[in-house]
Amino acid sequence: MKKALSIVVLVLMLLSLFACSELEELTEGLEQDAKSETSQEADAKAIIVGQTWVTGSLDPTDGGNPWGLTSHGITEAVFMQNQNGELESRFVKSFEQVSDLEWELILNEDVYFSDGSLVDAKAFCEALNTVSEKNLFSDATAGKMEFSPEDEFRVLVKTERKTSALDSVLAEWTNVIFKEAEAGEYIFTGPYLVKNLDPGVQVELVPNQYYPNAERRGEIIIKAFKDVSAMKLAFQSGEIDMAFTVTPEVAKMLQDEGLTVKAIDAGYQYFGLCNLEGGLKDKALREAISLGIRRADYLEVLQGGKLPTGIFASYNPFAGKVEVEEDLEKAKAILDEAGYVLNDNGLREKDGEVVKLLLVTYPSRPDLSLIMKLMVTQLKELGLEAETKIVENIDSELAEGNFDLALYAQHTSPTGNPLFFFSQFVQGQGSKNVMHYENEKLDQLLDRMAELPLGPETNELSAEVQQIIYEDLPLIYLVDPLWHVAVSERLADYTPYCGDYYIINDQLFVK
Amino acid sequence: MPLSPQEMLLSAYNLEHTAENISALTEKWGLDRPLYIQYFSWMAGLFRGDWGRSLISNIPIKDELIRRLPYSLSIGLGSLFLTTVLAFFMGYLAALKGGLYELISRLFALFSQAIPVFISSLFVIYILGVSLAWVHFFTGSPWNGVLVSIILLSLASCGGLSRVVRTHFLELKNKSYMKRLYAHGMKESQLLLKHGFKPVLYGLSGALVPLFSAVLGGSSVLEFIFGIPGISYFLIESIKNRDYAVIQSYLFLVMLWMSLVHILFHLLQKHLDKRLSA
Repeated sequence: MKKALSIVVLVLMLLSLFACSELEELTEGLEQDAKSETSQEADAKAIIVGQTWVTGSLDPTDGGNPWGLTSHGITEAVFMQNQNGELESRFVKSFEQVSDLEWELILNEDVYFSDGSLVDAKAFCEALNTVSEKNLFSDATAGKMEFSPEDEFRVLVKTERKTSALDSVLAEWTNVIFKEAEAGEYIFTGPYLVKNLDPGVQVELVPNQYYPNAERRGEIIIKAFKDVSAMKLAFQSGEIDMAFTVTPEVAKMLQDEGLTVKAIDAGYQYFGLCNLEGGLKDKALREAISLGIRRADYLEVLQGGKLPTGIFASYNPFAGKVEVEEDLEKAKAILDEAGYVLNDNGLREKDGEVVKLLLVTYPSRPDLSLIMKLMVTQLKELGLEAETKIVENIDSELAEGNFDLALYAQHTSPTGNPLFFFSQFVQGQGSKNVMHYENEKLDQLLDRMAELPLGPETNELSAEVQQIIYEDLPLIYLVDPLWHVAVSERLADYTPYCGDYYIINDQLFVK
Repeated sequence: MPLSPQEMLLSAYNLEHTAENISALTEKWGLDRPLYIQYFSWMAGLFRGDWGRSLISNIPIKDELIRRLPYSLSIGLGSLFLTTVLAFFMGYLAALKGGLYELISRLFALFSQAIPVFISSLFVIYILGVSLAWVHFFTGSPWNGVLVSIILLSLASCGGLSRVVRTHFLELKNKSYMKRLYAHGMKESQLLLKHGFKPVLYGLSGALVPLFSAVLGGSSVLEFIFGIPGISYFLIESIKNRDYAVIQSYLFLVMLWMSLVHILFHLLQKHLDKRLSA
């Protein structure tokens, strides 16, 4: 027995030693932190960014990596959006279509990789040909593309399918510029380069000395948080400088504590998809819903956002010009006129059947669930009964038609081209046209848009298409939302843009 | 699961769910082959030491699991060990002395049911990380979170197990051979520890075996909250993304682990109860 007791005591002692060593480490860590804080007061401390994910790999040719790397400020797509939603490029000075399937690009002569070598036509073509060969996602719009250097800064591009907006195709996140130093090692062009990567957990960045204004930038650490409460606590404790993003409730709590929370244009739009072969077949019903809901209530519960003017965020040049009308009495009158009569329970009936709508959404955008709760109450005022359902696999539910009205979020213009959304959602044969919407005039307008380069004419056509959508109501515009980003005092001047596409961009530095 | 990994990947990157994109991914991942060929190909890979790659991130699964194993094992085994020690002595004292010790044992049992670890962990972070600013849980060493996780998980589990230990000790006290030894003038405290610890440990080991299944993958909440890059963290993300390659490898790892645990516990129980060796 004594032996057993001795073993237990020994083990407890070992445990205490372990705990003590951890405490020592903690103390040492704290001391080191204190020392480094003092020494770094003169220099800027590393900016620590908390977000929900961190890239798992630095291979720019594989799967979705390039999207993550660009969002981290490590890679750059050939064209990227600016804060006004316009496409611009650090690499391409000008471009011209020379035939249906051929384009000529003239490159800028002063863009460098992070090792100091020049991004000339040869390097540019090698990167994009590798992408085209290895990343199947790069074929999604224009098919396989072939890039050939014509001279030091001139490139000929051959596309498999016809496109009228090569800049938009090259703005797709797959098309990033890089070169392979040795097997598995890559060199990029973004404002930051990787000092250390713990896949999926943390990435440490240092400024790329060959990117303009490198002297302004300091080190950045991006850390993944899977729990929003933990990210909030990390921000409150001052461990992180930016929490991207926080929910409206957390934003309010932080603001009440005097901390800075910024609202940024999400780029993602919130809208309701109507099942035109289901419960919302009748246009009168859709009109009544669009008129009868109060979008201002949604903005209030989301702690910000804008009334929609169409399907795109308002900063885009091709945003809609719709003035959304809301009028509860008019909505009721439309229902009355269409034969939806109120029964003794205050519910609308048609042909002796109580009208019951199925509202569906999904949990990964919590804002949509909040909107759905309010919408149920608002529909009740119209006499419409609504059942709600939150599903994990929204796309399969939509494909199977298990909805009357689906609340949905989507970044509608990730490539700066309005056709990206239209061709998927509202064109007759669109892959996400789960509403079963068809409008010949709208399809013709979209075909016309596909023939034109991006510019004032496509912007006008885009606005016209959005007006038609508003009149036909295959989908109901709900909110042009804002996201909330908590920032420390030293990042008070920084505002990310384009949703989560460029969280770390060349403007992220302590001013 | 109704949504395919192909659709999950396309949705994650805002890509069109066209038949072309889906079939290209299906072909790339070999999901167009018959199920039995996929399975045997996966098994053959396992025997060669190739556990495949994540469908979503394309990282090698074996390397990733091995990289994450120390964190999850430390939390799982550390908390189980501490739980066992605490539960044994709390149960022993509750059976021997009752009163305050009985109350403490009951309180811990109640605590584990009333306060889930995701609440207590946030509370600890708030006190130590935000209010006192003593520990950097998120930007310091991940072992800070591991240590706190071990303590929290142990505190959450020791109460229930201490009741098991107490019951075993109380049953022992009424055994005739124990009464005889007591009548011979042995102290009850020594009697229970010297002659009672093996049967009680035997009983406790039976209650512990199921808890070992949670060593790999059972601390997901704490790994999420403290940002500890363990296996549970990886697993939950993979389930969310329908990353079947990772889920399958994880299940295989758990199968190996639980086989090992059962063998070890069988040997331990044989050691504790010689009748099993007969």
